Amino acid sequence: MGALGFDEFYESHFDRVGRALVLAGAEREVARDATQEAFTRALRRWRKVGEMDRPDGWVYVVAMNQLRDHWRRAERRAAEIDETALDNTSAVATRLSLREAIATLPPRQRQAVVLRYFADLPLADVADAMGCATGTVKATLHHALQSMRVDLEDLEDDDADR
Amino acid sequence: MQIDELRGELTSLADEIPPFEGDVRQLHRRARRRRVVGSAVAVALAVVVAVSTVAIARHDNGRARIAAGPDKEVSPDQITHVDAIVVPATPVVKAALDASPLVTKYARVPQSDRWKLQPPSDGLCALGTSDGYAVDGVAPGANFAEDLTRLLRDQARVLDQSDRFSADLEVFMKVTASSHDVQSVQTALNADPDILSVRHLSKADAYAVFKREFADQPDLVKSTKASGLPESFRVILKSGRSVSAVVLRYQGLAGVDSAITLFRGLFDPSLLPIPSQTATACTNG
Repeated sequence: MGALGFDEFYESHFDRVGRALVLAGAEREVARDATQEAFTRALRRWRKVGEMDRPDGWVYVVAMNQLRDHWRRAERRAAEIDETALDNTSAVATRLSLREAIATLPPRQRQAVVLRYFADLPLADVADAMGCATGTVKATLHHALQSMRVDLEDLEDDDADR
Repeated sequence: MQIDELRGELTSLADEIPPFEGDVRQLHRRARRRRVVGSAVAVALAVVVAVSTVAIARHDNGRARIAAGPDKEVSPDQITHVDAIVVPATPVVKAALDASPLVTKYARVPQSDRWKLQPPSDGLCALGTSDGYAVDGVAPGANFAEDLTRLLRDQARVLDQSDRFSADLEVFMKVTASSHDVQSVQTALNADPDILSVRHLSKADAYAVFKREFADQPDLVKSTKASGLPESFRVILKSGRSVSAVVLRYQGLAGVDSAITLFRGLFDPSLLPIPSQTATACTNG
């Protein structure tokens, strides 16, 4: 990853990070700002960030942190934002059961699910992005998968492939 | 239902979201501006990065090289900018400073040397009871001390020194300088190859600084108006450039009152304080 230039990294990940934030419940403009800010910071530290195994993991962590911070500052509950964001994205939905399940997840569970299964982040990065311990992430994902009636994956084993 | 179905559903949900068009050139401009302006980063956001980076260190030392942080402590003579003084100097604080992306380097200031710290300040008073660290920030500016405060939370006191140390020199205009004079000095500073960055302080800015500096003398503040204070330019030089050469260059310009060196090292013998004054200041705090 170290050889990759920042510009290429940006081009190949900007869109995906933005979408992940929307999936996690962010309004579009907020998602764009948080993504832009996270990449700006990555650029400033690119010598270090670029050498990480998952530079995009670092960007997700920073972007999610900003999102949380935005929510805190706006004194809005993430749950309210959730509804509007998913309404937009599910307008063309036809196959609703799993979608509904995702849509009705509590905000924290949904963030964990998006970071883990859409951004494909390792558990430790998900924990950083959510500002909690790895064990908490496991528990959160566990609850989320249960309520969506998705078969539980072995989260313990996940750490081994890192 | 399988995890793969969940992944698939998330992907198809994501596909329905209109694409985010990134503009990498705009991002480069933004990063450059940030570097020059220094502190344009929103306080809270920078703090979150710092905290999360520390968190990365906690969770996973192997992967997160950024957080494994080299020892950033240097000897006091290698400190050229002090943005904040952090007290006390404990291993926990040291580890936090090493790990923080906000911190470029820092030096230990022994309590016994606090009288040499220039110029005297409340930071020096805080050193009355224990050793501290003089910290040079990555992006010094108005928010740096606040960022650091949140990062260290209850582990240490952070004293903002940015008004005092954050530039190599300050070029003061005469109070009566015309806007044309101010403009041409700014133009000259901006074009100077020895200079890394220039920050213009308007009369209103000067008044804000003045209020902070003389917070303990409300009468003086009350009797002073912004219009009675000079505009100035705070200048940071590229590393290795001669401060005195730059000072000389601007001292003679039209409208310039003086160009003064703000900082010549942590313990600058030529700027020794008057001990009785500093001692008095500290007993109040």
